[in-house]
Amino acid sequence: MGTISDSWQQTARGDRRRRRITQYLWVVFFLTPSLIGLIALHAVPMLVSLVLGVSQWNIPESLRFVGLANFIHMINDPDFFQSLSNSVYLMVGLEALNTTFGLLAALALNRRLRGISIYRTIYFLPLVTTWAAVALAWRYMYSLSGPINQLLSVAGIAAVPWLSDPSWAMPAVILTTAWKSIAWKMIILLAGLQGISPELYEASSIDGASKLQQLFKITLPLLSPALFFALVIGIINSLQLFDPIFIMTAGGPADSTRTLGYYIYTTGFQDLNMGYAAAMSWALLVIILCFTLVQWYLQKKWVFYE
Amino acid sequence: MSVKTTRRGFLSASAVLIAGASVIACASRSTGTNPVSPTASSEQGVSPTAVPASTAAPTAAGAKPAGNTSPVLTAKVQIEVSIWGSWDSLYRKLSDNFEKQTPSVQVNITSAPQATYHDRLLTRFVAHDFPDMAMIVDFEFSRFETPAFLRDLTAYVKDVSEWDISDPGYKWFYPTPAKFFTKAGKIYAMPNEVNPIGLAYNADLFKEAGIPNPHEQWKQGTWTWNAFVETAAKMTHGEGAAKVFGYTGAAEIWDLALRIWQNGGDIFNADKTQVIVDQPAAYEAIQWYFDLFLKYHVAPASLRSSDAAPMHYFPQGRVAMIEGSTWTRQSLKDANVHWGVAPQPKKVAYASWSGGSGYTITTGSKSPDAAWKYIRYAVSEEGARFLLRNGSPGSAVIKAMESPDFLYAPPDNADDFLAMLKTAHPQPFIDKNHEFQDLWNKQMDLVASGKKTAQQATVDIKREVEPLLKGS
Repeated sequence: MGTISDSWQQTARGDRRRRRITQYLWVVFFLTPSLIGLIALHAVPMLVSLVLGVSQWNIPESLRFVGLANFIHMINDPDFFQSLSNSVYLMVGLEALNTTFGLLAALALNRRLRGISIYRTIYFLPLVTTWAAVALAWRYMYSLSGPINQLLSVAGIAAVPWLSDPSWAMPAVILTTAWKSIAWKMIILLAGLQGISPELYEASSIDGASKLQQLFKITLPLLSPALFFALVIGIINSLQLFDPIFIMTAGGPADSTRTLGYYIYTTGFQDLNMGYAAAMSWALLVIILCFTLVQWYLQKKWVFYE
Repeated sequence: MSVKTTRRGFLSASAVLIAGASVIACASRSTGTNPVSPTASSEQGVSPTAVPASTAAPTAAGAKPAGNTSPVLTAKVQIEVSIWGSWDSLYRKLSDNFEKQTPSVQVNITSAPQATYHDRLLTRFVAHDFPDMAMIVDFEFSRFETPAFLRDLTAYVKDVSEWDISDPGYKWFYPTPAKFFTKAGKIYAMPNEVNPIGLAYNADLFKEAGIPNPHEQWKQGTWTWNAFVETAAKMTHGEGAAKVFGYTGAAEIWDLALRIWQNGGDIFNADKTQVIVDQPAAYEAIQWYFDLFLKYHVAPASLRSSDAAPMHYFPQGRVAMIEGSTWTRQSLKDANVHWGVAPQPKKVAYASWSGGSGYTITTGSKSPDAAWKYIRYAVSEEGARFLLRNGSPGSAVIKAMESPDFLYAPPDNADDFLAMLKTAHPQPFIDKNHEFQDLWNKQMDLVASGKKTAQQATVDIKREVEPLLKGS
């Protein structure tokens, strides 16, 4: 009887192993299309970029290995640091505006009102409008005879040459980009707000809490995970921002709006210095990673998880 | 024994079938036409129905290459011509005329929007996806001017009996653009168009004001920088939305180079080994130009700003003078403004720009002889005049520019363009042209906004640009 039992157990183990292998094969089969895409469109370009970063290549001539020369040049390149500084300026201004107004919009739209979906759609529209259309419209808005300067003239303020003055060009780009991207923050924070239990507000009302107290003691702490996510992704996106610079200002005037992303583009595709452009893109990756890690560390201080 | 089909089994089998069908479909598509070129609307090179033409000499229509006994095949060569912008229809008409004269060659036109044309062309070249002929503009030429991309046309030029290769313009073209496309003794392009830059003026505004217009002042020999500023100041009047300005411009490098040359200076020395823009003749000219807004207030906005927009003010009759080139004809085609053209004023000398584009044959062309035949037709007197009649702004072919196909109104005094060409200077472009223009534009933005003087800016330009000239 022991022999029959052993034999039965071996057969059962073999069956289980075959089923597991079959299952794994099906998993691999269904993952393969995504894996091919991941490798072909992410891993391979990253590897090529790494090779370019340690090489010199101007397209007509063949690739030449130069070791760390591109990275050493970067450290001594004032244009790199100016572009980085512009990127950080853009990031700080954009995130401050996006987060503040995104939160206000989310709070305003987190109501059960008739037609609230229409208002949410209106706020969402800038996000789905193409940059070409947005840039054209805002270039007119910023023109000397445009609506913004007309409003300023009503207040007795002289017209501002928004896009042609190096002091004002970056604030103009920040304002335009914030107008377009507030909706994205609003959506994330609105979803977070809708996850907060109304019973907490009811209980705090009973205890006599004011709206402001509810905001700071209930809403913001419970919204902090969504805020954290929105900030992390927002900072990553804003450090890589390219479209508004390319369309509205081309990095000018006087390189005042030239961000690191735009500098990488002009270095690689206009100056044909592909190796240096690739090295700078790796530097940008490391910088973004550092910002993300700092935020990850700081979340312990202010993000509240239930 | 019956086989029970479960839902999981059915879904698995369906997935396998779909995946297999996709693989088979992709495999069959990959054996078709060349998938690399995203903009080509037709095949490159040799038609699959034709016998390939040799590179030594194209075969005539209907002729059979040696060894081919098929009576059905005709020796028809297909070439791809790459151009930019909305010139498809113009070059299609030119190509139709060419094909009537040269039935052995069929022309396929491909184009891309001008803003991205040269970037796309470069990407195609890197991918070894070469058109046979490509039009390239002068300020982008340095990116392509290499034997890896472009063929040397010297042998072809020598073979043209009516041309003289020892002459700077081959006794056919204006010399300045012809010389521009020559490097290290090799001719990389045939000049297509030339764009002298003068001044366009609103004839009605000058008539109403009772002030001699720029053409009249030039004819009198009194058209100087001082006269220009006085004229612009007199023409500036009114307030608010009705204000009329004397002048506006875009302050591109060609606008500033013109003023530098008019003042007797230059950006580079003759062999482009030194930057000389930091000399008084150059920086005084730059400062004078930006002072039209900063000091003399005859312009509506900073001349580097989009608010200065000449094509916004001129058609509305709100500015008396703007830069006027052969391109202005196209820009004002639908505008209801009576305008004329005159040479730029002089300080030390008259001077004009002569930039333009060129026709090239790529190294990857499988039919360079056929491509050359096309270029020969395009730069022939017949071809060049055809282009001018049908919308091309200017031509590098002297006979075409001196013909009624160019010398017509508007504008008034179109022959002033020919006078400008007599004072044309070579374009100040270098091998590392993009880097140079980035540095130049940055400094000019600062001068235009009053944050730097031209003298300070040109010192910085010299310091930053001269290293780019080494090894060029």
